[in-house]
Amino acid sequence: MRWRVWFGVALRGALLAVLVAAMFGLSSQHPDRLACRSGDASIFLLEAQAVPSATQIPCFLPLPVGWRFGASDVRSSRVTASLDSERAGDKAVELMLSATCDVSRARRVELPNGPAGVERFDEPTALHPEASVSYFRFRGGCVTYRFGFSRARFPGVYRDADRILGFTPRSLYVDSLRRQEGLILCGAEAPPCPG
Amino acid sequence: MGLAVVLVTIVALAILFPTHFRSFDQWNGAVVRRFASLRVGWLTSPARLVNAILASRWTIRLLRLGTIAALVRLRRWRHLLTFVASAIAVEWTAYKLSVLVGVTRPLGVRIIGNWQGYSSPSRPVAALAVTLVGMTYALLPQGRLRNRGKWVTWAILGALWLARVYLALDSLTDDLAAVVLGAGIPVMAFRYFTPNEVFPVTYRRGRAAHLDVGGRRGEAIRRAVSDQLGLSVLDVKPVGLEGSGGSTPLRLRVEPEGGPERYVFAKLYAMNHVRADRTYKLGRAIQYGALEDEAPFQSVRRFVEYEDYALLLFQHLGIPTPAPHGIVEITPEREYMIVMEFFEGATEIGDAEIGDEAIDEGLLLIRKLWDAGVAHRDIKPANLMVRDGHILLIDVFFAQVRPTPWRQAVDLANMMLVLALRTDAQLVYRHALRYFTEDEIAEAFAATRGVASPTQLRASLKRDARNLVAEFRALAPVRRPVAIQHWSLRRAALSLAALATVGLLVFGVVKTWPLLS
Repeated sequence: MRWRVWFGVALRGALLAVLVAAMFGLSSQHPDRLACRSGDASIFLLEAQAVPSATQIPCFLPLPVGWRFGASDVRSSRVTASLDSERAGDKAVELMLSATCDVSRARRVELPNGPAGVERFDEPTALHPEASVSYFRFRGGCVTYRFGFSRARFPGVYRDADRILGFTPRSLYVDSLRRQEGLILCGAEAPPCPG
Repeated sequence: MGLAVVLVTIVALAILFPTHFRSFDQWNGAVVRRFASLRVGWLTSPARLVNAILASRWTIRLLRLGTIAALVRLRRWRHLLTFVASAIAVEWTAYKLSVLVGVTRPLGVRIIGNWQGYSSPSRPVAALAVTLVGMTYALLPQGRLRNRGKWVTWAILGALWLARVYLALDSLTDDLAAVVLGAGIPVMAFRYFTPNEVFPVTYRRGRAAHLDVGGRRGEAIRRAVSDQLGLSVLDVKPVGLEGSGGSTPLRLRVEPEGGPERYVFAKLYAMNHVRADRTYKLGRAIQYGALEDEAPFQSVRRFVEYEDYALLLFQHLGIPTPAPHGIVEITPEREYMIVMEFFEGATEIGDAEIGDEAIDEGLLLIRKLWDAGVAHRDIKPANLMVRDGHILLIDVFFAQVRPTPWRQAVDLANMMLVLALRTDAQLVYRHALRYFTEDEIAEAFAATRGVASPTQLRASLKRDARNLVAEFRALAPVRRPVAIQHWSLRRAALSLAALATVGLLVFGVVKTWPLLS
């Protein structure tokens, strides 16, 4: 009878171990991170569905040392994502994609190497002494890009953060989906959808 | 269970062989587009309304909080825990699966309404399914009412399913997967942790530990008693439920072959009693350390075997306890019943008048146990009966051979307290001096504090206007209280493990809170 008890304990222990391993194993993966070079396009398709008018899909270029992906949330009409920095803390960088944004208090900044059709606006430092807010506006959408620290405090981190944001044209996903699956990614750059 | 296996298989195959599922995706999309082609103004508004109400987090919150409040009010803790754990498991699994599988919202069709995250399994549908199914199993009694509840649940889920596919918020299979997950997990959890035979949902009064003895179990009891003890059972009636938590006590009206009708007493034990015994002993070991032998029983069979042995031992010692008639196997390894003599015409000591003779008998009974090196360990009003002015002792399940002196001392103090509840401390003390020395009585009351007395006795003492423990202590010589807190490596390890479990639970709830709320 004793072996039965031990067998039961061992079985439960194994089950618990598997569950815990699964819990931490799954949570250590970040298939929902907005990495520009990700092999999985589903997150970008979802972004495109969230803000169907946006002609550019934002993503993060390969992260420099000391950065990691934070939380992300994709929902109808809005996409948010954040990056954590070892030096500037969690949510050091926050990104939000929406259909529009208010740039009335920001000033336009030249974007020499940026994608075509994307305009950059920076809010004055006086408005946010301990943060930095920029807008990247394009046809049908806008990305609000916020740093939770000032340039003066972490100049190196600021430089890194300023180079991480990337864009992919929506048309790329529209074409690829139509070619490979014969499906329409409803919204900008795509033919009208039924319904 | 079958559905859950199918779902897991589909998800695993979809992850491992994504290309093979392309045609499946296309079919899935075609169904949504077919639904969308039916869109008309008068249908879209109600569909939006259905989705807005049923998929709303506020609706889910309200339903869950209402259910939790009802279960707390009904003190149905096991159901409550199963309900909450199922909700956490479903929400967490649905979220993780949705990220792992990464299915976009339906393509090629305009989506109407708000959504969040990936599409499969549909998280709002899974959340509503686990909530409604959990409510059905936790609140509705098995039978017609629960069946109706199930139909209502399916109707509500069906309405939400249709609405979400019509609005192109989800594909057909996203909702199917959500329903399998949201219904499968709570059904399995409730069936495993709160089986209806052991923890029936009823709105009659009674303890959770008491088993329902009607229906199929009632028939099984009758058949087993007849086959194994040769007694025809004419009636089965639960008795003394308020004084027992570790078993289901029954009074059986039986007719032996060729003999007159009579009553026998029986105690029904099942796996839940073994589990309850384990939890109880674990709790005591953490709270007080090694007060006494806290090793739990490992099977129902051991329960009844031990009680049968204890009854025979007490009979052998000449203690007036019920004569054992035998053990009856109801379901092998799961349910057993011990049958013994029923003290007809006896009343519980709490309701009986007792005189000098009964006081002496009670004290002599403890003296005999001391001399034989045995402790009863559960001396309380519910376990002492009086018939024709004589004391009878029942429920010897907790008896221990060669107990510690502390345990024996506690038996004496508890017996004196029970007797004094019906008389007075001075009288009982005077009688006790005939069988015990002053030192022994002083030690008994030095050892008897709080947990040492059974809950029922403590409650009776609290209701009594007198402070009987203090009165006895005043009568006996002064003696320093005996410490009941004992530390050992085992207690430290158990305490740490319990703390870690609670910590892990809190951590889990905090981490999953954004998903739940």
